Amino acid sequence: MITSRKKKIFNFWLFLLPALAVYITFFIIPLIRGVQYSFTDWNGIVPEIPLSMKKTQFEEGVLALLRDEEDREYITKYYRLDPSGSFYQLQNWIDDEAQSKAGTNRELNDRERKEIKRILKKVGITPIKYIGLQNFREMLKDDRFLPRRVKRYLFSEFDDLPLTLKEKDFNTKLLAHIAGEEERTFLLSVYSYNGKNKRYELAADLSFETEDRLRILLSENYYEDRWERGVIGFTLFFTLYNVVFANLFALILALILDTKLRLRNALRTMFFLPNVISLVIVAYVWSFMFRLIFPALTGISVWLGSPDLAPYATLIVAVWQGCGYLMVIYLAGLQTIPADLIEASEVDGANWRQRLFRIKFPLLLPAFTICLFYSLANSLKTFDILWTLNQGGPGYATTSIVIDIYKTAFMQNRYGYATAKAIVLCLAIIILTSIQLSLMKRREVEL
Amino acid sequence: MKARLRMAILSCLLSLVLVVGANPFLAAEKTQIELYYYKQEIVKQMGDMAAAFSKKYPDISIKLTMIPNDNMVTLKARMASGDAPTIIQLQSYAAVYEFAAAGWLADLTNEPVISKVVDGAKNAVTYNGRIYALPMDLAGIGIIYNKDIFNKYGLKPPATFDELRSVCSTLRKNGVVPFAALLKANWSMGHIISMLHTTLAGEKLLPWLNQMNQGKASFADPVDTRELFRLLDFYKANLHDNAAEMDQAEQHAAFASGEAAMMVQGLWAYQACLTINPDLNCGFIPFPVNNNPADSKLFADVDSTFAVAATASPAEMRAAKLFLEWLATPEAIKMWVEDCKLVPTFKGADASGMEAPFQDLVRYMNEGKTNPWAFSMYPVAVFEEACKTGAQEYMLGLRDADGVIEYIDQTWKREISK
Repeated sequence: MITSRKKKIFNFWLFLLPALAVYITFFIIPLIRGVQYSFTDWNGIVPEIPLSMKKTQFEEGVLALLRDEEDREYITKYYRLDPSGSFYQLQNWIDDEAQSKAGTNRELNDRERKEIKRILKKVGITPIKYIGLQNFREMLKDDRFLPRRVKRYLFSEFDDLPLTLKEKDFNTKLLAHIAGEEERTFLLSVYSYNGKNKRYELAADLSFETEDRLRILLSENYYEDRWERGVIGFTLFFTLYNVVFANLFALILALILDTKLRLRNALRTMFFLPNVISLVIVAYVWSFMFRLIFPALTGISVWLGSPDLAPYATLIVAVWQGCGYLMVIYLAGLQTIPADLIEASEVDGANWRQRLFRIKFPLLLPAFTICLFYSLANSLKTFDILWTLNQGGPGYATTSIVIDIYKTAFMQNRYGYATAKAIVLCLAIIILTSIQLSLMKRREVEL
Repeated sequence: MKARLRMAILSCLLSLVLVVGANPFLAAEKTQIELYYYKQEIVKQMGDMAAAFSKKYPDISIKLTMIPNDNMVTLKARMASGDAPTIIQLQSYAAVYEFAAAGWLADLTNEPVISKVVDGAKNAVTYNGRIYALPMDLAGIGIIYNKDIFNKYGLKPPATFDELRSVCSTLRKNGVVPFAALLKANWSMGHIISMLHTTLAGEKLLPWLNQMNQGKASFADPVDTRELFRLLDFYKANLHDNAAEMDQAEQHAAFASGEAAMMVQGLWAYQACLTINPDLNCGFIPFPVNNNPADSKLFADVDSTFAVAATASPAEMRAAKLFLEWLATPEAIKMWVEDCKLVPTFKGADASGMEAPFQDLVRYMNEGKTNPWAFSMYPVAVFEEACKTGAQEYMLGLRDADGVIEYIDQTWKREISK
């Protein structure tokens, strides 16, 4: 059937229109609203029009300043003095003129709210203030956000005195911080060096006074300087390792399961399963693992609660959970490689390594592109796993940018600032993924 | 013929349904109000109370919504979309202040039910001289101790810090963990640092808060910071070895099973422990911060309150106020005390049916030996972020004492400059 060009274009737009409408309502408009909010100091609670105002504020700040008689009339219709006589209350429920019977009432509608907002704006009453770029500037000073150097104290007055200390720890974390000659000699008198195991050992049978003096000395001077990753640092750390390891394991699994292994369908299902399970259950199961099984295997008792190990612990769970999905993509990629190519290479005498690097990997490049894109974008905005495992704790040790945004918006009540952070994250994701995509696509074209 | 008849009957029924459904006079008979609350330990009890209320006022039904964690997040989202619940359970002080300042709460100052509340509880709901919520329950944070373990080793509940120290060392010698730990979630440490700070500050607390809100003071001012952080060090040294890994459920389990002899917690935790071990025999004392027994006052105040949304329709408003009124009746107080196990705030309410730790709380209250919950008076972000996370980080060695104070001060300055 031949259709005219005009009709073709018409049909094309008719086809696109619903999708476009949905796209605009659910993406473009919220995005614009978000950008707007990122320039405000909104705290997430204050409504757009004030629900009540003090009597003096309303009379002097609104009524006296409104020049237009119509506006004044309009606004006094909706703000009425409350019984106590000291507040003007917004009448959220007003008598309904449309209904004949007195006493029926209806809620304010959007048009009326907008009108009130417009009138109040004339006299400068805007509960949500625009503060320009201040939110974005504050991010540069936010010491949670950026990596920083901290002192970590290793001893407190009520702890048991350490019986032995490693030579390196003793010198760098303790002795280096003590300036006074008298204190140094005191310390060296109670801790003696044992060359055999390269440790400093505490002298036995100390008097109470000496022990107390040593406690104070240690509690003040036994510390180490270390870097805190900060929110950005943790997110980058998490992204890097998650992308590398999830893809690596997924690729290895895919290569193994692509062979003529017995039970390979069952195994594929098993490896994909973590992706299907609800995250709450995943978190529950892994909390249990980290509490009971890991300590027994490794001898380290604290995993999720330790600020040093918690990032790695969450990483393990994320990789475990994420690699099944990537594996499926790699498997699909591997299965599209024509069997005759592989056979031909076998005939030509290529060994398995040559087959892997010269044939399979180049032909897998599209799969690499998709997997890297998927895992990169997802790791940059991880929230669920970290939140269900640890709520971003301990301290800020596993707080990704999205968790930080959530905390800023809903715990610190700084909606505007949180939105600004979200905008920055959005830009970062767009930039990073487009760099990755363009690099990979170029490689694909080269082939 | 038959089919036609059936059609006719059906269409008659359908039109009847439509007419009845659309008729405002019939529909207006019954008012439904929504009660939004966060106390997850009283889900069944709230259902019973709503049913008892509806029995008395058949024209009002109460729809219950319980959001346990992140309840403020959900609440704010609902407020922002203009869908405020009629009755809202709010934490005392800061939460009430915030919503009152934004104009979301109805003024309850002249409601008759407010006059039935004990005077000491009104401070927690008063904003700019007006009362915006009905204080519902009193709660305390302090040391809950296991009397059986104490008796076994011949220990007395400590009244001074030195006594507490010796109690802890005796317990440790006998292989009992002194304090059941809760370090994995940060909120408990927020309570503890504020409790110690308030107790150390004593009389200086309110003047200091005043100065602080004018930006003229530091968190360190009313106390000797060395003393404050020494107490945190002491607490840390007497916890489980894997304290950093323990969350609330594990703390309760450790305390209920007798693995640990004490826990620094609110009395709501005792309630949870009883469900694990109903034979628990406990007492409740303040955390002694120094060697002057007169200084150890219980950290107790109003916990939850009920507020009414200012945006409610007149019919909902009437129903909500009737419900608040009903809460002060002996029938409701009885349910509140005996089923919910919460200490009521109404004058002359009978709390004698409650367990020993609650009696301890009521005794301290009656003797006036309590400190207010200062953390509820801090700006919300200061407590939620700086205190909770700062104190947790101190316990994990991620931040030193000066760093914690600086963090709190900075957050505070930022909050008041808004």
